[in-house]
Amino acid sequence: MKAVLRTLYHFLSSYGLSCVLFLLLFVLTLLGTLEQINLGIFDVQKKYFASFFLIHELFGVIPIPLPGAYLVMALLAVNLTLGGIVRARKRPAQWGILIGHAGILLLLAGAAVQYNYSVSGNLTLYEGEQSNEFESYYEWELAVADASGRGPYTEYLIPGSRFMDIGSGGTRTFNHAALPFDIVLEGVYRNCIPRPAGQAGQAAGRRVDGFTLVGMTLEKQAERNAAGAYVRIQPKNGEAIEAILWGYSPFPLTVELDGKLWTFDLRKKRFQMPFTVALDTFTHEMHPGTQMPKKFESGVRKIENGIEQAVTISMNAPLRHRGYTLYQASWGPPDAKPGQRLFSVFAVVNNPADQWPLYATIVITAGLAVHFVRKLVVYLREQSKGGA
Amino acid sequence: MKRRHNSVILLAACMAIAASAFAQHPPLAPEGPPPRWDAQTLELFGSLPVQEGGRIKPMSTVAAFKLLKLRGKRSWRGPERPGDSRVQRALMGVSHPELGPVEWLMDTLFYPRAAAAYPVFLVQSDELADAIGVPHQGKRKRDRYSYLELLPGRDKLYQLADQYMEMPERELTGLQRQLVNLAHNVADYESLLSFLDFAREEYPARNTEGLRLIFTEEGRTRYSDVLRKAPLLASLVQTLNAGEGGGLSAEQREAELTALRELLGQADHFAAAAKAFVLLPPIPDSGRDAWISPGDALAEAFMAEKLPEPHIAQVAQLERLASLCGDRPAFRQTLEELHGNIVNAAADRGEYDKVPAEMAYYRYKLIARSFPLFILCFLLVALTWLRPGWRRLTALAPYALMTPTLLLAIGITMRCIIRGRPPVTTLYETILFTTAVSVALAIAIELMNRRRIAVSLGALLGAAGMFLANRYEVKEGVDTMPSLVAVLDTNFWLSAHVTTIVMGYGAAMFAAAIGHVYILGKTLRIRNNDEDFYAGIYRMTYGVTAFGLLFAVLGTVLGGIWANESWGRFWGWDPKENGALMLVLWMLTVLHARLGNYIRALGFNIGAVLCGMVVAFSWWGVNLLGVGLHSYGFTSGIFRTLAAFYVIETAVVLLGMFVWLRDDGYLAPAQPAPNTEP
Amino acid sequence: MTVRHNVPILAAAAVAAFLASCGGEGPVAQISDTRTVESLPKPAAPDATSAQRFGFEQATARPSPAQGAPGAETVELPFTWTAPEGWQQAPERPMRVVTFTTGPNHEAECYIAILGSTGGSVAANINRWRTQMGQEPLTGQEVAALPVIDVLGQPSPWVELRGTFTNQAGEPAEDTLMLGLVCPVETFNIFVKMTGPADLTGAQRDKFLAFCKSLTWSRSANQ
Repeated sequence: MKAVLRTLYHFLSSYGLSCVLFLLLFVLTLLGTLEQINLGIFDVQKKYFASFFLIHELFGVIPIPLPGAYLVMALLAVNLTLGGIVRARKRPAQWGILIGHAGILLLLAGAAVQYNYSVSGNLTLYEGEQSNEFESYYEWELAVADASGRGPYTEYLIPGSRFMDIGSGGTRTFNHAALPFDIVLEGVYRNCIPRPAGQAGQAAGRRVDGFTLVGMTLEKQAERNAAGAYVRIQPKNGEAIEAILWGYSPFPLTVELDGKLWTFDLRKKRFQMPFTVALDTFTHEMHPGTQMPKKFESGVRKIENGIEQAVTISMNAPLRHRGYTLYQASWGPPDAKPGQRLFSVFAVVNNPADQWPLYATIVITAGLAVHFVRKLVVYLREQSKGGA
Repeated sequence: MKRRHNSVILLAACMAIAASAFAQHPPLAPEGPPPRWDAQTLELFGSLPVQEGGRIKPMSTVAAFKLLKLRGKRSWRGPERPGDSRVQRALMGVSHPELGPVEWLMDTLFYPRAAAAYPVFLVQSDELADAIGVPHQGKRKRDRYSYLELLPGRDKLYQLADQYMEMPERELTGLQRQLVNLAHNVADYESLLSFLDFAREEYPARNTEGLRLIFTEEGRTRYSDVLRKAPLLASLVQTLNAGEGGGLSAEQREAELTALRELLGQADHFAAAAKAFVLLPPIPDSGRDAWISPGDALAEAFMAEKLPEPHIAQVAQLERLASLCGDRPAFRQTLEELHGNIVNAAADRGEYDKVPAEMAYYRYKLIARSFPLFILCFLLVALTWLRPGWRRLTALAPYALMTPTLLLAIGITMRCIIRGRPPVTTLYETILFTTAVSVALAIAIELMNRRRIAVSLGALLGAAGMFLANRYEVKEGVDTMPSLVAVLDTNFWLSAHVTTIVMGYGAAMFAAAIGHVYILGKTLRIRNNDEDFYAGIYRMTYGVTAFGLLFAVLGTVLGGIWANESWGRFWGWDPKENGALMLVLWMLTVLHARLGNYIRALGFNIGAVLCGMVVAFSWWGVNLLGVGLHSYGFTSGIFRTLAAFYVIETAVVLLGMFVWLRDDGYLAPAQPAPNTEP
Repeated sequence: MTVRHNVPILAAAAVAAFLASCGGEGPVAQISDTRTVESLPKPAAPDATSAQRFGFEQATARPSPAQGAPGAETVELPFTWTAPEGWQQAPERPMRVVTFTTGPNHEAECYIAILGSTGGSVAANINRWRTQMGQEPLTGQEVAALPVIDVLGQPSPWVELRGTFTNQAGEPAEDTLMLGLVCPVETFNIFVKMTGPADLTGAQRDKFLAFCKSLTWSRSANQ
């Protein structure tokens, strides 16, 4: 057993493994880049970079199995730790390298934390509006709430990860002790559009209330996909209600059961922030005589516990508060006339490892600089001793 | 995609304008070239500030890039002129060809009939001429045509271009792309030809009683007169429209309205053609903050509360210029007045500061002039290879290389000053900076080890870089100092990330170049027994690669931090980001393979050559994919150059493999075992 | 030594984890996430039809714009208004922001329109209305002397004209009263125009003026 462990240790800490892993990541990056011509970046990320394993079709035909970048980077972290730090020589000549390796480990750790624990989405506000919630770019959720009376309301949430895999032919039932009905999803589409039943033609699914969902090919820009589902609300005692849910409905499905008003909302996943953001003014400037954006910025108020603070958010100058960062992402409507109300779009990110790359940079720079300067000094000394 | 969209609109607009302009005025008989403009007039006109692409630049820059786009060359002496004495011609042979663009522009604006015969359009193949039905006897396969020569094919050209612009760009053949390009150029040129038409016209302002009451002055009615009388004309229109106005019969009212419509219609028509140059600065305290063109002045005169007197005066001066072409002294004087007028207004707004600097930058042509100097340096160093005894020359070599490098550095610095930006903000500037970095590295290494390898490579890379920069500028044909989009509006990150990553590219390219020397040397068995020689080269390759790795890693990570600050995500697997990562990964692979003894000198140098191929992909290849945030420019013409580069580099890599096989004995014919039998 | 004992356990754990990540959920599942909110992002809409939910029909009540929803296109107007009592909102007409009718048979009509500089100046339009009512145009000075009320922060002249109204189609309507107001803003003009039988419309004069004054910029701080 000791021999096995030692062999394993030598293998995991070897230069050979490093080279192989670097090469694998190189190949994955190259293929993932080229593949973006066909797939959108979201899908390429899922397939090549956030995965453990994938099969790449070379020239669209020859299947080549490859480890995913997540696996490669995990192994790289192991290799880096064992080989680059534990096993490496600790002489002064190596200090620069050791520091640099530590920096890279920090970078990889930051990537892992960000992948697993960060939340990001967007928040759109018209001038004069405010909100403390933002919504995901890609993820959906089904929210069920008792909307009778006035707030506060309890929303029962089913995250998309629990039902988006059902597919257009599958079915799954969700229930909760506090809900007097079961929610049966009988067909879920990742991208679809509702059409009046007469118009849909052959591609029609089931008809509900004169409409049907027509599945569409996935958009290259994944945030444009419109999820949809057929739902059957099965009360414990009473008749089932069939309906269609669609991700871009301006109104939720509202059903009255036993004198209570229930809403069913298929929407992009919403996240709450511990503070509210109110958009007061939005200004944008084009380079004169062109359609190139020169500058755009939002004057917002950050409201928390009744205390307000005025902040300006612009390109390259985000708002950071309580672990959330709000960036000026874009604005609209794109063909706004003068005097028309504009909206500002903020990208919202909560990333526990937000500043780790910065720390990692400092560490890596220091390490490589130390190493390089040392090598240079040694080289120059040799040159002056030995003569050109 | 967006640029194409705008181009479609622009082309359609230009075509509509041009078509209508020339429908009214069929091209008159061509005239011969006008007399030459004197240097002072050219200087005055060239230094007029113009707003284009979101910034104020000198007219000479606009002229130069227009000529570059049409003709493929920035300078052009033009035809011989009447009045050119022999002495004149001899002097022109030595004088400044950079007067070419402004001279050409002035000819085109003020003598359109003569300019229509200037061969300004580069037509890359006679198939293109055939495609649009233009005869090309006497022309070379790739030649320059004049507007008049292209006129028979003009309609077909626009029609085909329209069709091709509907198709996705990927699917166009080379010929179709050239045709679309030519159509854009022709439309652009027509807008220049008709720019001053508004000044050359007489406006029908005396046909009816009402108009005669308004236009009481003697002589021709000009565009500026129409502008000046705009309030009176507007109220006349309203009076007539509103109903019975002062005892006119219905027919008389109709006649007045028709005459008004004709007058205003004509003014509008020529105003539409006069939008090519936005050169009238905003009037202070008018509430408007935008520069306008003479064509825009019409709408302004009718809609503003107060008559825009300064603009009307400037337009009147333009009109006088158009009529004074024959009287050059008077022309120059009026131009001086107009120039002073506009420049003062611009300077008051603080928008004229950089114009003289920009003119100086283009006048000194530092970038272009460094190219022959690099070649000269290379020849110099080549001489030291042939005559190693000439020690002085060898010692001089790195200092000689410093001269063109200094020119390049000054050029880059001047650009920084003019734009107020760090050195690298566009793809063009990456070429300049990468070259500068590579050559600077070469000089530094040469000073350290004096082997003449570094300095030779430096001179070669410098020349190659300047050549590439020139070709890129010609191919794009647009101002290389554009305004920056909002996300790039941060000098800190531009200095930090872009500069660092470009230094990494430069170092990697230099390492690749050194690798070439090693491989080619070994292939040809140059100085085969001198292991010290090859060890020295190997040390250079290793050192430069390590240096490059430092900057590449730093640049990549800084890019990520910048992205995090701007967009909220450190890494998005965007093609450009991936390209930088690939370079880092490859350099890491090569360096670690060396540490693990998997490769030695030859293997490392082959790896360095591959570094160069990765840099090419990261620098240029990703732009061709047309995806991602970093798709800077339409570099479709780059594909062939890139493909050629890869073919050559693959050949070098194969040579390296061949050397490996040969030197490790795999290629030797099997020797029979020595006969041990006595 | 410990490794040997633990290998089977580790292996089993690995296999289990692998299988767990592979499969999806079963056919019946419990909802486990809840949250409490002060107000629902999309309030209950019991009257919303399927057509309205899928963007095929505009709802009669204008909803607050769902954040970032690209589905139904609602053009956001720069200002809002309060309709006077007894005025009913009529279906949308092209070139008009909103139209109201009043009167027992909806004989009187009032609408808001916005035109850019191509629509002519304030004076030009007032005189155009005068022409429509068969009256003489006013001179510039007379236009400047018209009664003015403050609308959207701009002094806006208004006219009351009585006569035979000849509309765009050339059809005459006798004994009509026209109330017209022009509010100049930037390079645009906002028109509020009411026409109808003279007596009926005359009785609406105050409501017309109140309606004009009720125009408010919708929280656009640039104004």
